Amino acid sequence: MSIVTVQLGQCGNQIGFEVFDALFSDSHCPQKFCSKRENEAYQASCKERFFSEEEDGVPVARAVLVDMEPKVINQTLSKAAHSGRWKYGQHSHLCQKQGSGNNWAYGYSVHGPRHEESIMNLIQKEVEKCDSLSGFFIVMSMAGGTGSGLGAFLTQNLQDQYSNSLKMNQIIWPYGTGEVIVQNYNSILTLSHLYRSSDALLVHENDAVHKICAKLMNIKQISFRDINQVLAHQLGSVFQPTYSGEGSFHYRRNPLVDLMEDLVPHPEFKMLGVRNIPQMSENSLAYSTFTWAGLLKHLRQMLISNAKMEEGIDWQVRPPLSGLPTLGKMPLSKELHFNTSIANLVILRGKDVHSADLGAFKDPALYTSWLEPVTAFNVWKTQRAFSKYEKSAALVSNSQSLVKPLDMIVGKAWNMFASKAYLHQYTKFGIEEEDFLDGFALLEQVIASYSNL
Amino acid sequence: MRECLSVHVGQAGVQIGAACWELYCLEHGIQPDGVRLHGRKDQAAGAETDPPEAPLDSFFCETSAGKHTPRALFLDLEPTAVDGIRSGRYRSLFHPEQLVSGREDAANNYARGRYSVGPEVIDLALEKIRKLAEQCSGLQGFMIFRSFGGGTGSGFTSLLMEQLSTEYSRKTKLELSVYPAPRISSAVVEPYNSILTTHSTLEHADCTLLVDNEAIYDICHHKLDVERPSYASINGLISQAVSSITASLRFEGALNVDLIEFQTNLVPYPRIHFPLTSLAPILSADHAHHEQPSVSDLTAACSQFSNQLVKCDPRLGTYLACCLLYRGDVVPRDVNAAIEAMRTRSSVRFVDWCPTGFKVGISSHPPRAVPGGDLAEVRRAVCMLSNSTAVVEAWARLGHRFDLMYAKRAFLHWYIREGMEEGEFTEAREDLAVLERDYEEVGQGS
Repeated sequence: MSIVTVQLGQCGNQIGFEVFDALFSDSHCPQKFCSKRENEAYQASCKERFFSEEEDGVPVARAVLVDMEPKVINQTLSKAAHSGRWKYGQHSHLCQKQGSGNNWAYGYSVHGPRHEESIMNLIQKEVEKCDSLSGFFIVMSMAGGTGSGLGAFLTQNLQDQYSNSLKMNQIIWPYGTGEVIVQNYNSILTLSHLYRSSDALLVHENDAVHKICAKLMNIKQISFRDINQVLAHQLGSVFQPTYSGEGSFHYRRNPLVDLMEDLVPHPEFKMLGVRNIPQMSENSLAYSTFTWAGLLKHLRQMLISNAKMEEGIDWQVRPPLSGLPTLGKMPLSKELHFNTSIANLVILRGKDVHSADLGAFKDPALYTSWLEPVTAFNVWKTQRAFSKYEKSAALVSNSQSLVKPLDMIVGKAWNMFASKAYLHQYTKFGIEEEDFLDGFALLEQVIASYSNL
Repeated sequence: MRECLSVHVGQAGVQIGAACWELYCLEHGIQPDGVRLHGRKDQAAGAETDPPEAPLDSFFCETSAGKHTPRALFLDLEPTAVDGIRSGRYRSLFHPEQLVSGREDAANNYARGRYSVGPEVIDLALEKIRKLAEQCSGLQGFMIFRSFGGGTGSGFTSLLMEQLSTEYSRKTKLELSVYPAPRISSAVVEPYNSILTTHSTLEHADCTLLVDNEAIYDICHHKLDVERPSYASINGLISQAVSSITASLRFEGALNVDLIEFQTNLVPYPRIHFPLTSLAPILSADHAHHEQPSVSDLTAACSQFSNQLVKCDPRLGTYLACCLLYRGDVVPRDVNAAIEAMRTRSSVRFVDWCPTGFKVGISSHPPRAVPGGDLAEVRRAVCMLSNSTAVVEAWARLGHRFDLMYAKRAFLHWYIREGMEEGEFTEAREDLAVLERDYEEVGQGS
């Protein structure tokens, strides 16, 4: 079943390109650890999901590109076409001249209704190309104007028009130090709208990915391209095909449904985070060997100590002993905050994957009391290795890890709101104070629910 | 199985490490880029390199790319020494993450290595060690190379050893420490650093092999005819000793000795863990053609003062235990005869309560000489580790120098301002005094 990707705004388009590139490179990477037949099945499955075939044999990405200014889309289209390996559909994009001015209200109230029909047409065309539709993957940022505002509007529309299909929004959390002055307003409005209309929010924080680039990949001058590549690597390791069941050798047909089923048991808890191990620069790869036990141990500690990468993990954090109140109930300011999860999904790719022991993840202390580890924890496996890593593991988790950043953003936005700064820019386009207040209320509710796990 | 992690701390540790790994690569036929040569005939010595089945698992980790990466970590608080490796001949041998260097060094100051600059790097170091340990299926223990006199070697190593003891409590920790030479010194505050680090590491190290620069200079000068011995020559000799010690882990042999066996046989009491190292034969390339020493010659030479890598006269003390590690063309019968001969010699005195004082290890793989080095290639060699009360002389010497400086509180302010207290100095000195008394007590027997 296929996934249609919608790339919105500058961020969405740049990341979308890197994701498709990573998916393509991985599926055509020379493989040493699995049989040829298996590799072909993998490639076929990947292709069905993300690419469609055109007459000249070059795969076309199943994507719709939308932006309110032409620069980025043109760059993305030409980069893809130049690579010669895959490309975007010729007419699968929409761009305007003006841009959204980093204003959520402009994206939502002006661009949204204005271009609703054209965008939905484009999406319709992509959907028609698929044999069967698994769902939508919407890539956007929270801080800008197009990605955030138009994205929120679009998701709502997709909810109305394609109510049977699932929507997963890939959201980029801006740098804490700030890229855009009104990013906090944009974020609040985006998140509150998406919470109502999307099925799952997969969040990537720029700060975290930046640190991965600096510490693990040893890149000196980190550009957005490097960040996007790391991000694409993480997403690729989640979305590439995996076996559909324990002991089965057929590839999973419907990844989005399976993801939602495994990870979003309750509509109140939709925020997902991705962690990937190992991640290192090309040079180091030649010298490294990996064991499943080591990788999984690090991954588990990354989860419970809320670390985003395999270095600098706080090994002091331990799951609370049964019988004692969980540390999670203490105020957020507590240092040794143990990260309780609602659900976890571990995806293993590589050599000897069936010998990996996941007992440590099934510990009930990691999970909230109202969900059994049997339901809360799932594993997906495939013997085919991902990219150049002989063994790699990804963890998609629905846990408290996003509470702190969310709380910070809400706090900062509230401070700005209390002094009524920049509000007129939003009210000009029809977003009133009530909308802001609604947004705050919803997000406070989300924070409270997550904190009380 | 039986993997051993080497940790090289400070400039001394890093440079000794470079020499050791060069030697290991030569012995195993690994090229500078980590790829192994298979069974190629070596023209120089006419000896065949190892058959591919030799277990180099204990020191090297094989990656899927066919590289053999050393199980080692090089740590220093300033980049110069580690950069030497990063740009040296073996730069493609080591995993880039294994070469860790800080930016601001410990400036020959134990307090900086331990309390101010060290803690910034310790977490990273422990992470790297953890990663290396995870790759091992049966980690035996750690070999830590450092000097006593420097800032990183003394201060940072104490910090590291403490952390390793908490995290890896059941693993052996063997140290190779460069002890401050009696008449030659490379730092004025050596006595302070040495005593402070010995005090803090005493309970964490299982066995500490001492070497000192002056003894090796004399060996190079008198036995190897090297006019002006550089650190390269000194490190070459030290690496031969280390290679002999670890030979059993890396090669097959008639009588294997691994790290834990050393401890069991050499350390009668937990604090009495400072064996002296000596090597034989020490022949320069010219003499090798005229002399091929027999096993009994080697054993006799070992017990001589002039072959020792530490300036401590064993004739002035009694032996508590002795470990002889033979390698090359050696059979057990010759070894037994040689040991008998040694025992009957009057200069070799054992304590009453330890009649069977010898532990023997035999490895069939002959020693290799580094091309362009000072040592000759020989067919057999021995390394002797002897736990002797003569080492008390070394501690007494150090304590005396410490006392002279401390009485005047000289150079103390450098330590105080990094957060140390005078109490720690007195505590350390007392601990050493107690150690000396322990040795004397042990040497007297029942």
